[in-house]
Amino acid sequence: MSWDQIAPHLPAVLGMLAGAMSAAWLGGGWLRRASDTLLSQLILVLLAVLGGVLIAEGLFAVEPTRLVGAGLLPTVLVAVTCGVAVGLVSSLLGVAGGELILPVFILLFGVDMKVAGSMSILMGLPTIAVGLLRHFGTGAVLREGPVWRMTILPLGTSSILGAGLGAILLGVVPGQVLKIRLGLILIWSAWGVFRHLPQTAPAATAPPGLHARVVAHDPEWGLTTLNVDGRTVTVPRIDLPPGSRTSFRIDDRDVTLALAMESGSSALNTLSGRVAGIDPLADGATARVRVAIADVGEIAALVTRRSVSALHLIQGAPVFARFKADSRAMTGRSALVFGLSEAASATAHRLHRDGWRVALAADAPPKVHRRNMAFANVWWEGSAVLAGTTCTRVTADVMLPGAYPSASVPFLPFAPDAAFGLLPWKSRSMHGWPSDLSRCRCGATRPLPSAAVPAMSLAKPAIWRSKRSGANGSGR
Amino acid sequence: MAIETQWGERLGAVIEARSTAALAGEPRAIDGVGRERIVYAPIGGVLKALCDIGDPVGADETIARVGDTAIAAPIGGTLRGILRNGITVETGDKLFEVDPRAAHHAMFTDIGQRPAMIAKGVARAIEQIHPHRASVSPTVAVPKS
Repeated sequence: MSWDQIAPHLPAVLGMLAGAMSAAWLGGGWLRRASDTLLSQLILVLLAVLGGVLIAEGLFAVEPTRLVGAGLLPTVLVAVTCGVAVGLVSSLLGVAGGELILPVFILLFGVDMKVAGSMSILMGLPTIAVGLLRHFGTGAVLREGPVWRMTILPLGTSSILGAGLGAILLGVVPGQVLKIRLGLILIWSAWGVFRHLPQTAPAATAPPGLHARVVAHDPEWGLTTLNVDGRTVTVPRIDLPPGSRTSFRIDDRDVTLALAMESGSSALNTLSGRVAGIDPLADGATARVRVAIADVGEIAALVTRRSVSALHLIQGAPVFARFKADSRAMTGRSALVFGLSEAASATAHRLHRDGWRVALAADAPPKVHRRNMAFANVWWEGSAVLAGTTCTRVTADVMLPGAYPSASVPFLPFAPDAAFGLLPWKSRSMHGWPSDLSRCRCGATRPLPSAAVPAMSLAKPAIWRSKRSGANGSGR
Repeated sequence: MAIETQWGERLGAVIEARSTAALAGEPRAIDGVGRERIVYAPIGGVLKALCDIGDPVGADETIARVGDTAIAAPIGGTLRGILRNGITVETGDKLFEVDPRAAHHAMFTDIGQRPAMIAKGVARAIEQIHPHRASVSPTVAVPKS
């Protein structure tokens, strides 16, 4: 290749080079801000398009044609535009962009195939260099030592080996076939990217309890009648006034299934529904039968597979779910978590998700710096969301029985004792409350010998005070 | 009963006897950057935050003021956390933290690994105190002597 061959195409080459280099630079900067999902989608589309282009190049012989007018201005304009596209692709996918540069030169500028090949290499080097510099600058990957050791060096070495092998193969296998294969590989890897695109994650919600409203108390037998969407359920007495909302959950081991609404059973509650699903358990003997109760939700029953067969239970079959008035059915376990630190927030989040009635309390603006990794902002903003769970500040007037439980975790801007007095479940039990709450502090300012801490284990309902001192740095 | 809060194999463990690890916790390094990514208040005063969580920051960029003292970022990266603007801090309080990674790799939302492990430990501990089901004691055959 001589200078004479390239000289006439110099405006096109320089134009494309300018476009590609600036796009590679900007693309690298943009890359650090774009979300992973968007990037994956973009890479997916680019890989698929590249694959398509390669297959097309392989299937149809490419003839040099000049589609762009001979004038300097149109040449440079078209060249810069194409260069920008090539540069973006190059910096996003980390390729030299030859697959794109070649067809542009050959089809748009009518450059001879071999000259075009050399020109694409000339162009590819600076473009990649700029993109690489930019990636170094943003520190996306390359600063990390392990990345070098674990991926770049092994990959680089094996690529060089592969390139050598490829060059030998090139002599044996026709170029067109190679191009089609490469195109197929690209489309296949696009499919791989597509399959790994993050699916919309299911929101973390509390396990479904059945929502109910207190109807009446039966002092003679110590029972409370609940209304569950029009159906009556009897449970051991709960300390909520009639009309207040509550929720309860039924342990699948407490539920039996029957085909008829028979009397003469000790189980007080019967709800009719239809079999929604049968999941055999690993032990081979039992199965969890889910029963859909219209308008209410699902109740699961743990029964033997023999019973499933004997009762001819199949999906959609009508069935009666019976369960006892068991105090354990009430989702009455409650906890007050003190503090708005990451650990306190994570604890409240976890307990809420596990079906506890949980509230957060704090009496000073939280000195929490990773506020978005905690419920800390609830102090100022009145609500905060952490991993799909909302925490809402409540005041004494709202914190009446019946306003709770709710989908969100209530935050009480009070000291523990005051907050505890506001809780609707306070009547449950106050005994065993540690007399000196400050002894329950976990953290560093006053590290406690573990002997002092077991006082907490007596607390009922459980309180977990989690407050870490600012000076005690423990990063995540 | 206590929960181990220090990074390590026992993080989140429920400890009923003896004591938890002595306080010597170092933050777990991100990209080899440990304690130095966290900035503490050199003096007390009212914090004026100039950046917000998630903002890209450069090394030596002024991130906040305590009173009249400008506080700069020790490294470049993404602001992972900063105390709320207007809060009154004391000397030694953690002010802010820079994640050395770029924004789309940095972690500044959701529950961190360590708090999640601690929460798991707490849940396990109070589950022991208030079991959801009445526990069925296993039958133990004691040989008659």
